[in-house]
Amino acid sequence: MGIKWSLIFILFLFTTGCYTKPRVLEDIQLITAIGYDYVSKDKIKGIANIPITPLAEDIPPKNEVISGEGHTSKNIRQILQAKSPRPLLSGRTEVVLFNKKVAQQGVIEVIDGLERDPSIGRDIYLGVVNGNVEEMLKEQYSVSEFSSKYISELLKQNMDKNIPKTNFHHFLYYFYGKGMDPYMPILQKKEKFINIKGIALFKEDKFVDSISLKQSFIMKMLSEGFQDGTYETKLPDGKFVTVQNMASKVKYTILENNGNPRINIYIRINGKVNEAQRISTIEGNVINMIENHVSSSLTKEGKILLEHFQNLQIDPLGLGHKASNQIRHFDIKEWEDKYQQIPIHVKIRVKISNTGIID
Amino acid sequence: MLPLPKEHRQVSPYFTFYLIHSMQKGVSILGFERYIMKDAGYDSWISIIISGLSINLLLWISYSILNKGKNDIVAIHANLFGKWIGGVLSLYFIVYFLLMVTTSLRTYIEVIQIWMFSNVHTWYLAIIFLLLAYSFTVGGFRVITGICFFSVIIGIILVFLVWFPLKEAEDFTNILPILGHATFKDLLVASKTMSLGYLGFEVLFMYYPFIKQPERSQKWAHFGVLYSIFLYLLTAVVAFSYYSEEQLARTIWSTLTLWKIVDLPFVERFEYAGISIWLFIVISDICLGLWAASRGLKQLFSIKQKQWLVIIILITFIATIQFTDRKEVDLLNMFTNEIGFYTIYVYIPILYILQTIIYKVRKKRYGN
Amino acid sequence: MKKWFDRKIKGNQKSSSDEETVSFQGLIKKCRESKDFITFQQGDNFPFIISYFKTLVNPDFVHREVLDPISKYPINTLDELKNLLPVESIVITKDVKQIQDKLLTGFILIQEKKDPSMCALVPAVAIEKRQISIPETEFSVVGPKEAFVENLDINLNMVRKRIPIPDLHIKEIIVGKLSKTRVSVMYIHGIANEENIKTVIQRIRDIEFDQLIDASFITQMMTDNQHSPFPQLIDTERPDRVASVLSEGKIAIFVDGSPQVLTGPTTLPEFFSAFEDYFLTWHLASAFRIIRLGAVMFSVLSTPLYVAILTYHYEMIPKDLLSPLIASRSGIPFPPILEAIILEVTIELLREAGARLPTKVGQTIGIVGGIVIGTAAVEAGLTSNVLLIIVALAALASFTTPVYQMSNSIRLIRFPFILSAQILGMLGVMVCLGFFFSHLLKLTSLGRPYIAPIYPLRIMDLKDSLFRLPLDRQGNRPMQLRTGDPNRFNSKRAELKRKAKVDIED
Repeated sequence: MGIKWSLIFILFLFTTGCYTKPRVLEDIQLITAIGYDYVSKDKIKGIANIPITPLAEDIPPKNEVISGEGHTSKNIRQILQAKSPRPLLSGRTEVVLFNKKVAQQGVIEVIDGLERDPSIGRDIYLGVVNGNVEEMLKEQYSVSEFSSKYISELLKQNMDKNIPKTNFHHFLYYFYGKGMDPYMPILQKKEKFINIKGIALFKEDKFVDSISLKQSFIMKMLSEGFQDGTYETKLPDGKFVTVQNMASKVKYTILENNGNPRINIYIRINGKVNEAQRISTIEGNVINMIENHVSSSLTKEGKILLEHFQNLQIDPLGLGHKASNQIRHFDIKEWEDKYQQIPIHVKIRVKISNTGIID
Repeated sequence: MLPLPKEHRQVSPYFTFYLIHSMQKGVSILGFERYIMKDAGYDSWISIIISGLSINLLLWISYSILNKGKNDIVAIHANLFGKWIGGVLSLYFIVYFLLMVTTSLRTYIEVIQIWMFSNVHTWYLAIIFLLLAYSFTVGGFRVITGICFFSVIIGIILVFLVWFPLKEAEDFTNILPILGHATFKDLLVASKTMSLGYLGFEVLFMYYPFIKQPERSQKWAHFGVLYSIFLYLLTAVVAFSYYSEEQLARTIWSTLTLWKIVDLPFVERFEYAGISIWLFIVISDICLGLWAASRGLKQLFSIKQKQWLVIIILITFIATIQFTDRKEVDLLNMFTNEIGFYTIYVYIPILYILQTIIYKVRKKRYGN
Repeated sequence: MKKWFDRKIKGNQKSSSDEETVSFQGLIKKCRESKDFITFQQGDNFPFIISYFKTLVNPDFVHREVLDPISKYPINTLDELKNLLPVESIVITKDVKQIQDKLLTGFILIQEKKDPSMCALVPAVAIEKRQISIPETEFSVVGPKEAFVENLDINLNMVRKRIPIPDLHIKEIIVGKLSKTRVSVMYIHGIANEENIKTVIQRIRDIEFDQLIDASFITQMMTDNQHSPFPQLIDTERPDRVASVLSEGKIAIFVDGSPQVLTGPTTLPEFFSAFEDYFLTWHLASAFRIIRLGAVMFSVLSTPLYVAILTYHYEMIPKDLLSPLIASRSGIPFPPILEAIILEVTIELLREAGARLPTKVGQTIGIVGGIVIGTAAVEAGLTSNVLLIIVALAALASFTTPVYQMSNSIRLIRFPFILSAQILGMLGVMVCLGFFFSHLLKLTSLGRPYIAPIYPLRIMDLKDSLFRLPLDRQGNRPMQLRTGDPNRFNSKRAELKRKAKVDIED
């Protein structure tokens, strides 16, 4: 009886198995990067980076893009599909790029589409491109086989050291969260390389302003603890000193007195000096001097950055959200009204622990 | 009086832990966060505890009923209310078990259709899962206990996966300040919503006589509920620190979306594996429900349990394929939640009171 | 229709299974039909008629121990004969059936001339036996090097000398209408569970078969679920293993003519424990057991997962593996499922061809087939080299299972997994796993749950299943077996000795 039934069952499975549509790896075309270029006010150009793996193993793979113009991102998908010999699938997307002008008009439509698609991962990178996205993706870079791979590895590396961490999930978190505004890295193609130019600041889903790479590091220091940063500063006597292997911890204390909030940011940094031109670091007071100088210059730059954010009425550090976690009966409306006038104190303590293997 | 099961059909008391817990976990853990979030915001984790503790209380009441009745709910009903009224009440329980089975099955199929195979038909998956459930259920209660045991073990492995979202978590202070987001009333509303997650322990009313020295199993049952609380709490806290409020409200299957971030060296995008492995957890639910329903029907009507099993599997199948889209599945979940809520929070205490009164009256009349 | 069919079969059985009652004369007449049946009387005043099958008895023995004394001493009756001959177990009987059985198993039939219906049966069987050799399928580098042979008595001797206690009981049952095979059930009285013993003996008695050639016939006919792909009794060729499982409280079944001994009740983890594990230190043994279990999982699941992931879940492939996979897959004309099945069948062919040929040729086949066919298939673009690696590793992994029957089962159950992976991807693999789970949960070995000690969970039994703890921790017999005496040795005393802690300089 058992055998008879299992035979019937297996037969049933096979006769009806056609309901699931196979997507065999080599019969589909993976998209590894999606980009959007500006065409006109109501028209954008979608670009898909498709890696072409050759039939034989000894031929290097090819970096290819297809593009199409349309009014909505879904429409573009259809146009792109019409150009591809195999079904386009976006499950392996690693990077999504927006031209600066597209980002200025708002990215919500694209973001919403990505969010709904179950095949899109949450750890993909978003970025704003200073220049033409298609050109950036089209180029066959010598450092990496595909431009998507180049960009994702570039961003991954730099998010450990130079710029604040962000990915698709992080963007959504900041986008939907109250008292927070999202941001993305800015990329620019320069000859045979891609550079990170800084951070693009968003208000809601619209790109409003950007900060430089150096400021991005300050922003990283303000927003999260990190392990392996590098900071270069000019001492009062004109010499340059570089603090390396910086590990930092940041702590926010947000107080409210009679409806007047106050933000204290306390940052602790440990680092070592590896490059100090003609400075003998053996003397204790020299190290002290460097520590003091680094901390004061970081504090100054941090304050400038925070004021910049306040003037733009944006909150990429999520101060409002942090406040809501620390203040009882927090009112986000009230906070946003007051945001520009809230006093922010930054206190940075730098400790230089050693000076490499020589004094 | 209905006969008790034979000794070699019974299981050790400590298996109650697995039976209680595996029936509670089900599909609700894949996306319960957003529902309680809607009710009580970041404070809703408190309602997980409130709800769980109230379930512990109800479990205690259930054990009091069962320890007095010394048999399953059908026998207790028949004893208290006579053959006809008792039979109708038992039938209500059986229908309720089937409703839970249908909800689990349909919701799981929904998850598969959305995440994995968008064009697979409901009936196709329903047939496969029900056949699998049949193959377990004909093995009897011991086999079902076995699959419940394995589902808990597999569940533990999946629990470890919260490590990955934790690593990426945005802000651990999200749930602060405690009680700063919701009023007490909100918390109660969220607790009611949360009770869906704990539904399923009432199958105990059917398998109680299948436990050796059932009085001793009570402690394990309570542990089972406590473990459920722990699991829900852990998932919720991770989700709360990983998502922002509105983002979570938009995410239908938040736990599943959490798995998207799991990145093991040999497999990316764990959610596909996770959904597949979840089959064992869902199937243990379905089996236990089907078994309880067929066992109840066997006690009520003198037809073999195996034949009842086939009949109720057909009924479940027909019921399952009636729900065609997301909205209807959501409605089904809400409906089951309501029914379950009133069953456990209203009917069980009433049954307890009635049983106490009737036993006292009988004792006065016939006793001494 | 079905009932009618059953009845017909039953009817047939009845007519053929009826034991014919033969007269003594009829028996002798039947035997005379064979050329090797000898009947003679030495001279007219010799009081006895002697008959035997020349091919069954030892001629030396007949001449030296039987004919010689009879002709030397003046005896006339069978009783005198019995006292005279220096041979044990001489039977004097009238029972024709017994006479027939004994005559055909190498006894000499001696009749008195005066009363030919009374017979004495003198054992004179000639045993042609093989030398005890080293174990081949369960070879171990360290440990005893003797294996069972075809002769039942030698096999029993090899075990009995390892357990020299009177509680070691042996029950003998004759099975097989034609083969009359001696089947011995061995157990230690007071340790083995009575119920288990009864089950085994009853099931062996219930076997209805004509020709019982090997122990594997018994396995197939007395197991709990004949339709299961998993063996439910362990067959072993190592007397040391049998002695060891007997002292755990299990039961061994010896079959005459078979160099394999069956032991039971058994559990799934036992199939993955090599006996060599007991000769190594516990760390090594535990590590090897875990590796073996991992190998089984890999062997069963790797190809199906390959098919599932390449067919449905391209998202799951790790980033760095994606390009090599696409490169190796591109240009292959078959979908992953066909590719996998072709390769799996090829491996099975190689194994089958190697097993049917003499050892040396078999090895060559393995090398030629493995290397030449594999390389050629990849170069011709018929399969991807990634799959080739996976399939070869999976086959290799399946051979690590110490019990041969089990490693066959493991290779077989891979195919339903591959097919279900094609139908529903990962979910299909899990559904298939679910069906196997349900089967394993229902399966019993001699009425005891098959996947114990995992379910029902017996933590104490885990000490010697998934891993092997030190020998002095193995104080208890498996609870699973419900033995008569749960303690293997005085574990309390062992504990005391262990706990006598020594300081650094003592």
